[in-house]
Amino acid sequence: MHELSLVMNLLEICEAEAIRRGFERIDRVVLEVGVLSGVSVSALTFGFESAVRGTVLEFAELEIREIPGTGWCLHCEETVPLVEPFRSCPGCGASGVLPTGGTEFRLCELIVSDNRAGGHSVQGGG
Amino acid sequence: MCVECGCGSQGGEKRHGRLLPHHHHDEGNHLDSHDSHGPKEGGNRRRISVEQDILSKNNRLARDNRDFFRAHGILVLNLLSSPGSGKTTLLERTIGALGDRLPLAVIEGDQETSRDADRIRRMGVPAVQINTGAGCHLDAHQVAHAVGELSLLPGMVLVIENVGNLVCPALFDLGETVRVVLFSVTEGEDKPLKYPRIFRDADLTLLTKADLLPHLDFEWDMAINALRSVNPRGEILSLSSRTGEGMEGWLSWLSARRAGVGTVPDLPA
Repeated sequence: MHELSLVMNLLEICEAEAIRRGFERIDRVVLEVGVLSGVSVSALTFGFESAVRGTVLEFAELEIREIPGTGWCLHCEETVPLVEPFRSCPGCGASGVLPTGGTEFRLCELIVSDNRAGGHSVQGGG
Repeated sequence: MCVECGCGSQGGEKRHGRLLPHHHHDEGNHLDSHDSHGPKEGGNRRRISVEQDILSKNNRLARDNRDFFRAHGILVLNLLSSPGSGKTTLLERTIGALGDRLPLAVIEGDQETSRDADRIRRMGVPAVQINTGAGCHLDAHQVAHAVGELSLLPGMVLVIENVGNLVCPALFDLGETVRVVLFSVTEGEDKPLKYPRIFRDADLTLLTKADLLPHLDFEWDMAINALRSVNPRGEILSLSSRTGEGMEGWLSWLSARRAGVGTVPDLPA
């Protein structure tokens, strides 16, 4: 369950961004997760929901863009799709396909809200 | 000089008479993310482009650790395996066999207790215990702090015994020189296929508890083929910490890697 510590890494980046750019709330956080990255999307989502309470991410919607895996087959000498790391080449069946795409685990963008640009505060309750 | 803060660090510093890798605790001020050029989405809502690797902080700290170890000619092993594969026992036997030949220091990672570090200290070797609590792996930041507690000397071998876990530690670079994965023969031949990521990145896989082979149905060739299919290039050795069989091969490997770290520079003033 390293996904929980990955969420903590994400949270740390987001909190630093909040201070640096002066926003108060993150409405949406957009991640790229490659299918060969070693990160489980379901465990990540679960970790996210558990860890963000009381933080800048508390009200954020998590958007995950899954990046498909690709690899270079040394035998076919071409790029082939890979659904899992360490799979054999779907073309020739040879093992030892080197992953070339789908290993990403990145924070792409944040949709944020703050109270400064609009000139008035949004207070809770009515 | 450190380009981030101008603090005069040069890939390491000597503080309170101890070698320390250099890193900052105010990482938020040094983030290497891009500035926002995204359009505002109306009102007080805006889009910010960050484009940052989520493990970038760990990777940066690992790089600092690695630069520091390299600058001081310290060979660093990240020792990985499932719980109970014999990491600490191997370390005890290694310390006993090496005697004064190679100066060792050890960082022990466990969820709780200092039992492993106590075992190593009893052998007369400096050891620091990291308790990860809820954490399932060590990270580069913890290692940098543990190094600060050890009295490392140039030319030493530092062994970092990671938390017993074949999944999570694979993603976290500690700044080690080499990764050594233990695979005990009581675990099943297909372990490398089930946990490929950790075996793929192993510079050396050590098959341990080899003295038990006559009592097991362990198919040696099947295990080696499984290992080779995920890691075609890594080295493979086998040994038994209990009987000492194969220990010489492991010690030779260690000495060769130690020699590969290069000449030992003087400590910075």
